[in-house]
Amino acid sequence: MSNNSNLVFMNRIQLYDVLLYHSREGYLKAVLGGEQMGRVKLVRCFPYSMPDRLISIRTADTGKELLLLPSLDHLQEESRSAAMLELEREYMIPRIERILSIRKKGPEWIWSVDTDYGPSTLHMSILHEGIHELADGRWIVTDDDGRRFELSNVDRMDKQSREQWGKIG
Amino acid sequence: MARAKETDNSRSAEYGIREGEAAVLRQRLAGAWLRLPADINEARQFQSYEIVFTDREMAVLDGQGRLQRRYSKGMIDEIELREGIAGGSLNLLTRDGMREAARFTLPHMEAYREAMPRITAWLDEPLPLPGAGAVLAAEPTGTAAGHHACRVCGRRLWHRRTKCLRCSNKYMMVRRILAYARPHRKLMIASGVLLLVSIVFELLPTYLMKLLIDNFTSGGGSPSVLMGIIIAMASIHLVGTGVSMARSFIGLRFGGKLMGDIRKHAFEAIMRLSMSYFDRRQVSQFISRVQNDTEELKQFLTDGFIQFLSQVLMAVGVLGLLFYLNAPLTWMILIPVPFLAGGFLWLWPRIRIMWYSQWMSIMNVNNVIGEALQGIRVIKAFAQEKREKERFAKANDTLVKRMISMGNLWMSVSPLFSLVIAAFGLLVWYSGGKSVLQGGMSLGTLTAYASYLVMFFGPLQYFGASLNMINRVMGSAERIFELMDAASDTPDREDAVQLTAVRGEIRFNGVRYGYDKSRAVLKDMDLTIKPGEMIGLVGPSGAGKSTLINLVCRFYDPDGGSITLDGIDLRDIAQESLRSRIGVVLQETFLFDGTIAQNIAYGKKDASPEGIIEAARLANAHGFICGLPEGYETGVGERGHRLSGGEKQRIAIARAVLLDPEILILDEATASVDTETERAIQEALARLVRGRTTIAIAHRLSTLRDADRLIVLEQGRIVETGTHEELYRSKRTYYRLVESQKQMTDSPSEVGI
Repeated sequence: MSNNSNLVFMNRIQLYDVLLYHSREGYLKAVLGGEQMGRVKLVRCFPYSMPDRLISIRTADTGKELLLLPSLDHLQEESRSAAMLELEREYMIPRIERILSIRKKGPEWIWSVDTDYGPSTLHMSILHEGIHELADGRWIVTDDDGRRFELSNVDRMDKQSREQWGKIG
Repeated sequence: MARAKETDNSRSAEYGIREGEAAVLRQRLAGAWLRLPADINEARQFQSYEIVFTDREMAVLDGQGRLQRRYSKGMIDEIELREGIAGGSLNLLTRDGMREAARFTLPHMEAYREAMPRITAWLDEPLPLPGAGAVLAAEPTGTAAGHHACRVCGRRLWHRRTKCLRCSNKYMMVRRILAYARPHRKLMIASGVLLLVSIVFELLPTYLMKLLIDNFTSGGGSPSVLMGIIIAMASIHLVGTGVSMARSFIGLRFGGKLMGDIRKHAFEAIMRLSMSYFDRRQVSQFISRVQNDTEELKQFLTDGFIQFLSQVLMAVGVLGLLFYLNAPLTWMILIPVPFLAGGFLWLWPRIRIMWYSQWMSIMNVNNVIGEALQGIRVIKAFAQEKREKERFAKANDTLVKRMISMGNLWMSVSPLFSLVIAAFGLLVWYSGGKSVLQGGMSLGTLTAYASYLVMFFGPLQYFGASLNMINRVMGSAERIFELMDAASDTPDREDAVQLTAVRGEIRFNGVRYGYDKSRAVLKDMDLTIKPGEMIGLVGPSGAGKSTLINLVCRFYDPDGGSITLDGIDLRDIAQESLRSRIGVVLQETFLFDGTIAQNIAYGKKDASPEGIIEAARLANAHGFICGLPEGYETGVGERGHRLSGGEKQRIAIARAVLLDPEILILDEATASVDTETERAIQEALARLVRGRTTIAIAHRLSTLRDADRLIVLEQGRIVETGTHEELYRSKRTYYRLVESQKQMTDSPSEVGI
């Protein structure tokens, strides 16, 4: 799938006339068509399935859309890394990469997982209320502390993860 | 502060810092007036650490309390809290640019939000404040705010429960379930006594059989003994039948009552919960909880528990008899018991998880059905029946799969049990038979022994099967108690005020609220509504109009700031008392199953028929109601007569009129009706509004002309206030809204519809 879309893009990738950079205060600012737009924020339209595509550039104060960027590839290198940095700062939903175990201890469920934020342990007292399906094969897991984790493509994880997930999923 | 000292010691020990320096640091950190936890480090990895504010600097300490970084106050120009998705960061603006001081996940956000005003104030203070640190430090810092502690063990709780589930362990849970039996304890005791009797009666025939056989085989048997034994057996069977009939009758009575009690409690629990509890949950699951889970509990209390007890008693009784009949042999047959017990222990957690996932699948199926039924109009309109069928088939398949794998486990385990039992049966026949041949044991004894052995393994096998039952019951109990234990997000205080005379002054003081804690819908709202004033709320959708109304009704409590009615905080007012003073006419009027009259009198049961007619008349509803063949007795609601949108709204207005509240809330009361009906509704509303504090939302701005004051909201903030004329003249947001609406209403004629 992703191969296909890359092929399409390679042929007609065109850079948008937009510059993104961090100001001294650490604010992301944009210059659009040579015009200074001031402080902006980036919004992922599909934060889970397409984190690097369909990025809405909006003014920070009024939230007005300045540009809908089809993909980060349409940015020049510096703008692109500024955007990546900004998105990384904005979105803090760790992605579960491995499920080491899912156990039930008393009435509580305990998950040991590896995420892209490092290993973590989730305590969930009500399992079915903590797992929300976003789309086919994509879940948001919320633990008792209110921390959110993304869980997707379990079928591409290692055997242990699949087994653990299979117990409950 | 003790912690700061202790951690400081470890620091100096580990790094060999000079005692003097460590002492200075210790002293400084001891003066910390604010400590905030954080859990994501600079490398974007989980790590817990803390940021600490003292009077002259801000320091970052790692999980062991070691100093990582420090920023003196003089270096910091500005501090900004940045709220991202599912987390946030605290950023410092220094001479060298922006520095990220801390990064944290969502649970910590509220602590930072609360701390921000104090941090800003600290930054604005020119010099260290002697003494001030101690005052501030007395306040709770960090995570303590916003969380609650478990009543039992004091462990932190995030979901506003009063007790953590860890404390509601199995033992506690069984006790709570049994507590439901307490009001019916006479029935339960009677049932228990009968149970004992029936166990004895079950054990006796086999023993009599032994006597019978021994009577035949001993050679000296007499017909009179035979007759006596037969009569005894007959009477045992007779009495046994009577006892078991009596037990069934008692059981039915007892079970029915229990189930009623549990169901009632569960429904009461649902009614007690606040709106926010339902916002994030699919409602269909509650039907299953109230029905199926209570059924499960009832089963346990009537059959399960009694049977469990009876099997235990039976096993003990049989074991006693076995020892009485032949002690050495009995020791031998007890050998497999530990293995069986080990097997159960191995099975237990597996069954637990399997059972839970099966239950989840059942719930999933229920949810799919529930959602499809609720959305049936949309499904039909978009011709998506096929997709819904597929969705259902998927959920259904999962359930089938789960049930099969659950069954598989049983199927593979229970024949093993049978095998073990059969093997020991053979063993008994072999060694017992040998001892009969050698004359050490009578044939009757051996027969009885073999029968008792089967009776002994019966309960053991039952315990295995009851693992399943117990797991199911525990699951049900967990879910029911979870519902009952869930604390309302908007609880009534014990000393809540009952409102007497209400003037109707509503005041918002710096109110902040968001349904999702990471996104504030209302931001620092300050507003005073005078008694009897009519306020029109205006603004684009998503500006926070409905949220403001929800907060006035106290469906939710503000995250920050407060709302007062006549100077009393809403949180201090008994909710029933508050809501009886608020009349609500909502966008969508829900009519309950019943007559029109009942629906009008929904908020005021004791209303007289004249009162109801008067209210309907004021609401301009009397006319159309009289046009219905059954008048005020016309059935409406899901199964009744279909009323049009405008008619429903007028019923809702009549409801509010009858309630005669001091405060009135109108939410888009004339959104989707024709001009004629709108006029009728407008007229009714004008009458209703008189003399009451009113908050109205309307998309048609023309309907708010009569408002004393218009409040224009945008992105959760008030951007303009004033009368229609004032705002229109100032040509700002309101002017734009009015103009764009004019264009919209003009356009149909241009298009020629």
